[in-house]
Amino acid sequence: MIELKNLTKSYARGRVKAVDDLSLKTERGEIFGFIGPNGAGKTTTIKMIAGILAPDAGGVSVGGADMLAEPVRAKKLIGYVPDSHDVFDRLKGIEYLNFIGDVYGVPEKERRERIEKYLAMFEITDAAGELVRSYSHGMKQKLALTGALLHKPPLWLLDEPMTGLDPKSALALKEEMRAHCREGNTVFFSTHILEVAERLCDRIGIIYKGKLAALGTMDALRTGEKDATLESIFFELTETA
Amino acid sequence: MNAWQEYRRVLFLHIRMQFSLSALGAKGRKRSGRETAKLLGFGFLLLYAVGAVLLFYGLILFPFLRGAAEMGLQVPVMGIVILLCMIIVMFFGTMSLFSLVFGARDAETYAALPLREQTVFAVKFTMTYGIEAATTAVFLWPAVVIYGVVSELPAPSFLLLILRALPVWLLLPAVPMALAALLSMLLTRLTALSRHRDALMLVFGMVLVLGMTLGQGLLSGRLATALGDADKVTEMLTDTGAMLKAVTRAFPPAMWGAQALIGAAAETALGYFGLAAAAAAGAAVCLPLSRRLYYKGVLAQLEAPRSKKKGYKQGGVKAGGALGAFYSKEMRTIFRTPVYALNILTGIVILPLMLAVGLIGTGGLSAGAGELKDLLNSLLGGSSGDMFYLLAAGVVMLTGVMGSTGVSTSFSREGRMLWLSQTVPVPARTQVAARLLAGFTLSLGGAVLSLAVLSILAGFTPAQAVFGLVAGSCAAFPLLAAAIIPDALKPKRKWNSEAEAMKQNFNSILGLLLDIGIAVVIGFAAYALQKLLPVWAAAAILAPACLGGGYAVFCCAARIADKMMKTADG
Repeated sequence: MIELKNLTKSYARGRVKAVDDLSLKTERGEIFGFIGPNGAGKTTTIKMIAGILAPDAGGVSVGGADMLAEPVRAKKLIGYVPDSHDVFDRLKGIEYLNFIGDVYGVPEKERRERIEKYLAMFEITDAAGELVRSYSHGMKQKLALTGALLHKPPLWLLDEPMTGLDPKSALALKEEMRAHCREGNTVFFSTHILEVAERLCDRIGIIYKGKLAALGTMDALRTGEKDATLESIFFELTETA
Repeated sequence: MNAWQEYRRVLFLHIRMQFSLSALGAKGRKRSGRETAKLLGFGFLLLYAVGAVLLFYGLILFPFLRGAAEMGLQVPVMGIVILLCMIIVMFFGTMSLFSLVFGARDAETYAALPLREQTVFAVKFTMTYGIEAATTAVFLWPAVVIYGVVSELPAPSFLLLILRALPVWLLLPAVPMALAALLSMLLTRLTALSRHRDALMLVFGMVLVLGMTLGQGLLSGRLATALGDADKVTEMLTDTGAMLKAVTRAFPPAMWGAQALIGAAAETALGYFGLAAAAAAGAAVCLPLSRRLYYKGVLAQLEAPRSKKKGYKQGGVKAGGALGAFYSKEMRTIFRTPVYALNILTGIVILPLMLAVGLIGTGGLSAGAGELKDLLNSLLGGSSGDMFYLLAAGVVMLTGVMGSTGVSTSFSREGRMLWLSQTVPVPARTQVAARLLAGFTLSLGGAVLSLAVLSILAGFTPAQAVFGLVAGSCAAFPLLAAAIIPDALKPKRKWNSEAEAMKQNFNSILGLLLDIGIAVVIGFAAYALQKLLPVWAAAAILAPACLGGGYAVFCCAARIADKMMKTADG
């Protein structure tokens, strides 16, 4: 679904390499967890996949569409949720969802059904008629998640999706991620909650200082020790690298 | 930490943040040739923008002050200049305080810190005062220099004049700013009591604009009435102090400012004393009041009240196109954000409003449309109706220029939310088109209002109004398309208040300058063609040319926006 080829991105005119020659592929129907310490390059990578940042070198393709050459086709396949909780705050929740539905071309019938379903799932139906600026962080996150699911994207791209969610909504989100993948779609998400990544992900990529330090299923990552947790693997990789 | 130390610390912190001083002083920071070129280009544009404003203002002021000097009326004329400075400061100061002080997003952060409430208010007030002092400088210093030149002052006297002007310049914004602060504090506190505070802020803001325009109209009316009275004119010509009093009676600090600047020694002392005492009185009222009202008002502005209704209307889910989605989003955001709505509507509505209020204030309404049309006929050089057609089109084009702020800050206003525009599968071309369409709709509203005022007060015929609307709209297209280019190139994405996204955004000035340049070219071409051809033929040539040119500019803007959206990172 996603193919990253030698992806490189630098800041401060090349002095800081945020992402350094990163290559990876994700398959249809898998949940891919992207973990790493703060400043490791997770968000930069996700932004390049979403088409917000152009890489200095290398390429991104989503569902066979090259993000640089065919951005509109590639973006149609993605439902993106940033880590910032920034949503147009002078729109009402329902107006925001209509906006998203319009730009992704979701027909009215499907739109109505999905809006009802996800608003109920995240328990924000009552707030949908209010201005987004009156929402709490968690509610904004739920709205952004609803918007990202509205067009049933083949790729759900989530940057720290659990931040700000209450336990019930976090559980609902995890179930939705699983259900989304069961339908043959892909979920690519970053997280700091290692237990979530360990339990939920089919494969995990650990990024450290812009490079992919490890990649594989939990079993594959436990190369030496059978009982190793993701936490111990993570610390071993990031402290010895 | 005492109050003064606290104030200094927070003020320095604010200054560092506002002007990114930390980034400038960062170690190991070396600029590439491209960055240096960009910086120089930016500096040049800034100089050009300030220079253009100063030149334009100076060209208007010079003959006015020279004439006044020949008649020995410099003091009252300088009084008018100072009064105008104060009105401008009060108007822009109130708008700035509304948005920068009472709409600041960092208010919650400060409220949580162990800082005195009045310290935070005083710091934000000082920052706004600095901005208004800069605005005052643009209007006061050219007048001071021109006054020195036309009065043929010798070098030492000229130097003395500059030295006398310095404290006047620094003290001048104090009274209007104190009044603006009082007004803003009371209004924000009042609006905080209502659920519809955004709408109330907008209404109050528009009432303020109307009030100030009406005040200015009445002031002109008073002067015109005084000049119509032979005895009063004689009195004013024999006693310049009487004229100064007549002009500044409504607002004594303006008289003190003029006296301090160019009065005799005793008057100067009195003038400085008056200004300083008024400034001190302003501080003595505002600071204690801010301790009680500031946080209550500002924090309430950050809250968004919930309605009692639950959920959303069943008819609320409607499908539409991407262009319509961006257009609706743009319009909703503008009208639901008082700062945006005030700034854009002020630009668009001020023209017909000033026209109408000015006429009402000076008694022009009672003169009747016929007399006004005769006056316009003689001003436009002849009784040919062709110039009325051009005038109508010019007014519509001008509302396009006035309303360009809505377009020239369109990407900046999204700020951190720009990620959404970057990630949705909608080409930059469609997004730019929607933004232009929104700007055009707003300008069109102002144009219709202007034409209605002209039709009622100046007897413009329906044919002239319709012609003006169509031809002027064609001319406005390249203006609006050009206005978005600076913002598409480099939007201002990080701001602490909505005012920063719009008012303190250099893109809006650049957009305006581009518009003025294009408007001058179109206006000149229209005038020249109208001399050679009938007005309909001239329009038949110029309108397609404007549409074609506008389309080319639009394509250019779309390409620039496309490139920006692939690289802009929040």
